[in-house]
Amino acid sequence: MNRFSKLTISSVFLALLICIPAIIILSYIFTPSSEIWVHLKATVLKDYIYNSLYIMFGVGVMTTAIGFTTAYITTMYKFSFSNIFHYALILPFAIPTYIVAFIYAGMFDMTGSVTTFLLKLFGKKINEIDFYDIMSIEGAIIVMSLVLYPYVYLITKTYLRAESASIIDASKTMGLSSWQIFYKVVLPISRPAIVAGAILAVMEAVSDFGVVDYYGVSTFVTGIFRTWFGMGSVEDASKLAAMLMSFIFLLIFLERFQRRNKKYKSSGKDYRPISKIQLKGTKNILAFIACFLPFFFGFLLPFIQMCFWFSISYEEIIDEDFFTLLSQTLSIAIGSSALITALALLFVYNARRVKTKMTDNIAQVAKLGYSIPGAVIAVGILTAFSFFDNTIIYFFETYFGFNPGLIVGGTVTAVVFGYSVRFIAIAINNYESGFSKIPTTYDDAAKTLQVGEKRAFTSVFAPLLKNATFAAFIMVFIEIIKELPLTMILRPFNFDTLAVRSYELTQQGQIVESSVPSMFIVFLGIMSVLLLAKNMSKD
Amino acid sequence: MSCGLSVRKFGISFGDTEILRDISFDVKPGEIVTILGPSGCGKSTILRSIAGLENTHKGEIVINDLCVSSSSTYVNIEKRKSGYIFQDYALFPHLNVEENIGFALFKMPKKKRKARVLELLEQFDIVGHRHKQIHELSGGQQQRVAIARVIAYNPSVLLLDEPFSNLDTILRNKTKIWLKKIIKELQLSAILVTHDQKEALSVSDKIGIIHNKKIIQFGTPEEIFNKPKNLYVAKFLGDINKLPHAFVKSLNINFSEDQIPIIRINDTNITSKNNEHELIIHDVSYCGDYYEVTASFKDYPESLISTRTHASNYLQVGSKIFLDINKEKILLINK
Repeated sequence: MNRFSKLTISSVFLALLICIPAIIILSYIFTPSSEIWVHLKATVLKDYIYNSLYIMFGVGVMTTAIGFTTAYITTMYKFSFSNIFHYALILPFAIPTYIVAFIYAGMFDMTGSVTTFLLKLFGKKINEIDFYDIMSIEGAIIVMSLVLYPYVYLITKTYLRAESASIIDASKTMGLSSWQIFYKVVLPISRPAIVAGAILAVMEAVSDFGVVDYYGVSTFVTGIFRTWFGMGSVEDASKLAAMLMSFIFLLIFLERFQRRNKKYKSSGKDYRPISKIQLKGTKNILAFIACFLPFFFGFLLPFIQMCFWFSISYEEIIDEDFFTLLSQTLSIAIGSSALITALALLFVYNARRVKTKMTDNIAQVAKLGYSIPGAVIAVGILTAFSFFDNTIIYFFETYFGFNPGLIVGGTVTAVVFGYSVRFIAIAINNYESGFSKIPTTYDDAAKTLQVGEKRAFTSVFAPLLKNATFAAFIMVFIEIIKELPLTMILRPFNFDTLAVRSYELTQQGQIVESSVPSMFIVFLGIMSVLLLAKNMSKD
Repeated sequence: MSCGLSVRKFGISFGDTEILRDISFDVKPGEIVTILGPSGCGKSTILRSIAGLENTHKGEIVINDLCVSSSSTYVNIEKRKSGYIFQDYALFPHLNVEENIGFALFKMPKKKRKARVLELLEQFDIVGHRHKQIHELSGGQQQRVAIARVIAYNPSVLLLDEPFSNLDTILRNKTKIWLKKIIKELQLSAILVTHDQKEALSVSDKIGIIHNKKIIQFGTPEEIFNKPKNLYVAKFLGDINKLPHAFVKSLNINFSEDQIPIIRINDTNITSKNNEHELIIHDVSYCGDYYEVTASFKDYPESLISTRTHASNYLQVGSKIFLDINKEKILLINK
């Protein structure tokens, strides 16, 4: 009857719009090979594949090792400062990977602050020592792992805390030692959580642009940039993007396949905290060191260095232009977050209201955007927009004899559209979890109380979803503030964000100065995390 | 003027699965009709269809002589004059008691709305809780708020989905008395669905029992309890004993092969008169208020009988007891 309402139609339309970049990119898999492609294939394609796989493998192994160890130790034991580590170990999330990479390069490369200091200290020259350059693929893997391990840490920890108390207690009563509990019980039961966390980290790593570009490592993403901007070939850049995207979809499929019926999130029932064991002596020190090192290298050290660089360069960098940059970044982030949050609400509310397989699938399809690298989405959007613009130009030139110029391509619209495709999943997830806390009897009650749909929405759902809306907005906001490759490709001429400025300064060799925009990004990130934590405690 | 509710030849399917068929009953103003059946039998679907929350079904639903729902008619929810009390009450947690009760009265001028809410708060004896948040109320108080919220807009039909399931025993009895009074006073046509037999028997004017997608017996609680139509109804309404055919024939009761003689557990008593029926004790279980004794007739050792007693000093497994069986209470049930 009213199953296919205006709301559903608008949802379908939006979902299609969001899928456009992905569809366009995927269609390039089947385009015939150009000369450039033959050249790419003969020269660098192998490197792209090898390096991307190497990074994935390295980041997968390292994030698992760091994330699982810290999650296990902080869940099972009490030791010096263990309560602080509970939060401190998440902090690396607050600094974007590329900023940590810039800072580490500034500290540890041949002319870096730490390298110079150490050389002076020991009275040596760079050619007299066995120097390992951080600006390498291994360096990139280490930096990415230090920032991305919280994915594994958070998911595994949540799982262990929620699911394993009685299993661990049972193992203890059966006389298993701590080590036996670790490898016979905890490790096998945590596998789905570890894999889920590691795959998220690996997906972030393979989508990265800032780190690999700066460290001079050729991957699919840098390849897309080079082919697009260096060789000017849209088709071949898109073809690379298509390969990368297919690869990522394969990863998502593998993750879902390995998960199948295994749940790794709390059922919410029978929650019982794990009784932690107090560590003493050497074990206490070892546990402290195991948690302190990732926190130190993932957050504290780069943060301190950034603060120091900020203190010596802010006067030079913060001028009127910088405030324009700041307000530009904030305006686009706030505007886009508001739009994305509203769209997500439309999707999820509609899926709940109409409850058909189709509306459910629409939300799921819209969520796929988050797994597609920013650079790939940007290429897809540019292709779509230039086709649109060219059609309009052709139409006006043919019928009205004038050229209206670019309408959507190279405008802020393209950037906002890109953000929507990439980040709507975050907002949808927040609303799905928000709606799941509202019993369906509320919908029925609102209907039988004869208040009409509009009032039911404004006076029941909107107030009950206040926290979900806030969380969705803040999470999308901070992702936009941190976003680099998509903004770089889609931004209009002369339109900068803090992230782009930070990247540009490093490109000009001004690493110390780049700490100023970076500092603002990190500050906004930490503020957002604090706001979210406050919001969660209210929930 | 309210004329009540009629459900005629109602049936509903979800996809290819038929849930209910051929359901018919009437509810007069001031009457409570209970639809009784096990969990998952589709009871709540009847309420949802009457309210208009389900809109594709067979048959007709008539409220106050107006057909609100049939294969060709669908009257919007707001025109049905029905009030739905959900099992979890569905009170909005972000609104306080007063705001919840006034929720549906948004079209009323503010002054009038306030007066109406106050009237309901007084009538439902919750005026002291008017500014409280929902989570600050007890289960019974929450239920009163839920009922006040629907009474606010003067429905003629009240739909109650397992209304006592969230209340403890003492509160349950109090609430039953209060709810019956409200329904009679306001002359509401009330339909209650539950899986609890005792609840159905104590609160209803009429009961319909659902089995195999249909109402298999409809009548007053006494009719249904004393004259169950078949073994399912008899068993569903209380604990019974099947009696050995030969034993019943020995009491000069005639019955056909299609009938099963039964007696309810509470209609048997252990007696000291040794001229009654002799049984051998197989098991004694302590159940708090009473002991449940399982025994077999001395003359029909394969037939087990359960009975209840308060004294325990003579109850030993293997010892004999005498059972007083009131012949009048033996029911002959169709298979």
